[in-house]
Amino acid sequence: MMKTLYEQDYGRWAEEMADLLAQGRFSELDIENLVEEVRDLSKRERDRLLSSLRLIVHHLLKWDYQRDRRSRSWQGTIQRERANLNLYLQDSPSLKKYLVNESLTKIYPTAQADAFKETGLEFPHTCPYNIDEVLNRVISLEV
Amino acid sequence: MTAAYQQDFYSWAYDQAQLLREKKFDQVDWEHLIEEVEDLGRSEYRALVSALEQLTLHLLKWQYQQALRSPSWRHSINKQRIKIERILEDNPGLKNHLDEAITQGYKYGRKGAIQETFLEDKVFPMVCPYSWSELIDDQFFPNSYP
Repeated sequence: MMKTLYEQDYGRWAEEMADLLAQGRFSELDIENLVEEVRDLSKRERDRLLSSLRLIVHHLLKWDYQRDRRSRSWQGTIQRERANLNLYLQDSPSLKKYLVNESLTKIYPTAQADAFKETGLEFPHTCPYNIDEVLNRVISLEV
Repeated sequence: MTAAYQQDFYSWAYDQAQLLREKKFDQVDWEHLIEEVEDLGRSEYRALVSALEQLTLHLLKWQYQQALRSPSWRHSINKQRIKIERILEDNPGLKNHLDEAITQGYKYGRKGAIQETFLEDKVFPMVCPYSWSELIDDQFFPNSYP
């Protein structure tokens, strides 16, 4: 019966679960969906970290391959997403394990596709940056 | 030892899911878990209010700045209507809270319209001038003011 509520009315389902939890009525919980939702909470944290990495790489590509179009706006995006990464790490220090080159391999196809869509340029097939450059390379309009 | 809620949210959520799966109810961090699950439900209501805010903002701009009407405004209006439809389909119970959601959404939609149009505050009605059936009617685009 609970299961159908999850499909029929997500908001009410969540309310109902919170009530059951508060009353300690564990046997009535829709455990399967509840586990999924709680897992999603952690996945969401990881996904926003990866999404920041993707945005940084996307803008580094534009920065490096369209030197004559470098702008404060691209620089701003890179700075903002680096700051966001720090906020996410404050909430969840264990996310640090995703700040590795393998994560770049994962997000690169999308970053590259986004940059291609905006510029029409051909970019390398594998990520030309390592994690240290993505996080720390100085991005300045003066250089 | 499981991760603390304040110290590491990612690990905390991961651990709680694991404990629930294994039905180790005595080890679950109830206080925070209940908060988070309540929040799941509330976030649906917040999404509805936010869609209503964007919708009324663009309807007001449409109505009060006829000269600037653009396909992008029409697109924004259509997009928010689809969003509202989807949220209500997933959460039919929210239909009992429509009046409240419209009042809240309109309050900020109106504020946004004042900022974006540079028109005077008093130009825009204090109470949402659109009925619910107008708000969700695909064909409804308000006529110019007055």
